[in-house]
Amino acid sequence: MKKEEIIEVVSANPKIKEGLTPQMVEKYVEFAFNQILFDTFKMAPSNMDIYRKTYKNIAIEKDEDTNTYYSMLPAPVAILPERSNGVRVQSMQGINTDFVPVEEDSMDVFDGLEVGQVDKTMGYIVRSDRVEYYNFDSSISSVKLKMVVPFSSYDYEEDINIPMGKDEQFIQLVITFLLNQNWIKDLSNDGNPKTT
Amino acid sequence: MSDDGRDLSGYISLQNIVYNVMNDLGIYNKDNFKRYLQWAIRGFTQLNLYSLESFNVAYLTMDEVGRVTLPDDFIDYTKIGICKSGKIYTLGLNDDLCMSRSEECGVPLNDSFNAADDTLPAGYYFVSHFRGDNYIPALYGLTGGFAESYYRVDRKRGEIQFSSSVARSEIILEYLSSGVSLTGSTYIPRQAQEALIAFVHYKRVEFDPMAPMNMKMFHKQEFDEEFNKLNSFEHMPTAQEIMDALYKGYKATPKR
Repeated sequence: MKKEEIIEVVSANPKIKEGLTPQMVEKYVEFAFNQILFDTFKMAPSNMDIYRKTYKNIAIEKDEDTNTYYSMLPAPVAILPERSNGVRVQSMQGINTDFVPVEEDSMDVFDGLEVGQVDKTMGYIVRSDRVEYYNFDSSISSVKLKMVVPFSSYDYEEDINIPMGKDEQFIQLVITFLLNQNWIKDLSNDGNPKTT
Repeated sequence: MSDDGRDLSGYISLQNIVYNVMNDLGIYNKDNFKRYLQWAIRGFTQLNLYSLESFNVAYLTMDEVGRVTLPDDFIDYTKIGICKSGKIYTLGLNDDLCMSRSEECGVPLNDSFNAADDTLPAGYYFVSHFRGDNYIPALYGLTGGFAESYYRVDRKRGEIQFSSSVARSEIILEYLSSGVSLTGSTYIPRQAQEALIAFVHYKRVEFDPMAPMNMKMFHKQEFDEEFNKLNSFEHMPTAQEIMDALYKGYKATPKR
């Protein structure tokens, strides 16, 4: 289903009060979408591939002050409760074996253990706006990122995958979120659902 | 799989152990990859100490004050020797040797060392091993049992100090290895695979505060059983060795 179709379906529901702008509906659809993603992740953490978008040729940059290699995130991340936050980093031609997610604090520990000397697999840490690399091979100039992105990062014409059997729950979840709000009639077209 | 010309079809990598553990769990993200790898390293060291007894041979170059640096996977030595005229001669232990501790402008000093090429033949057998691409089936030193040239192991600094009578040459060290090379590739004999996987699983649940005690005990038992299997495999004599032992006491005597 396309993103705009989802918003239309929700907006057309008779329980939804009039006067809600598409932006307001979209925001609450995003909340519900996050919940559906999280439920799916809990059931099968290894089966999130279909929800990941691929971003190719992401440039590697170097912060000379901290001597850190990094890439800017091409889109916001829908954070999943795993070390990689749902982000996979791969070399352009490679598969999943080139990079492993690490925690910043763990790097000091690993450096003090044999594993820090034996294993030279590149590590990455996902921050709010960028991915930082450790043990980075400076001959790599670009990478491929596969990320679960929030609803708002999809184009209106883009297809969004809702797990089979979750459609009804998804729509009901959006409506529940919307009905639980104490709406004030929004007369100002500023995109802010709380201003009148 | 081959590396440096060696046939490594009977070996697997440490990473293979971690991938097996991840596959057992059905968890394919690499969140715990390095954590599991460290346990695999520890497990392999344990197996080397108590079951596999993996011996390595290293060729080391002596510095100007008669020292060599021990390999990073060194645990203990079994023989130390030099190659002379195509034969390997083992050296003797002397804990009274002076050890180099002083330096001048970064150059180590040892007044008591004065290398001279006057080593006398003595020694034991060496185990078969690889040297680069070449498999050396056995190096035979002279049998006997006493040495004319000496060494002292400086464990604190990870070095061996040699006496002046040892020529400044290539030192051949046969040693018990941790099995884990910090600078090169580490290969695990295939027969140790299951024991090592069981070890990582055991450590995984041992340090999981949510894991029930019966699960911890189950994995400990699994590891113990795999360890015992490996131990039996490693120490099982060949048919030839059994026959040798049987016939050792036989003696041909004239029939009357």
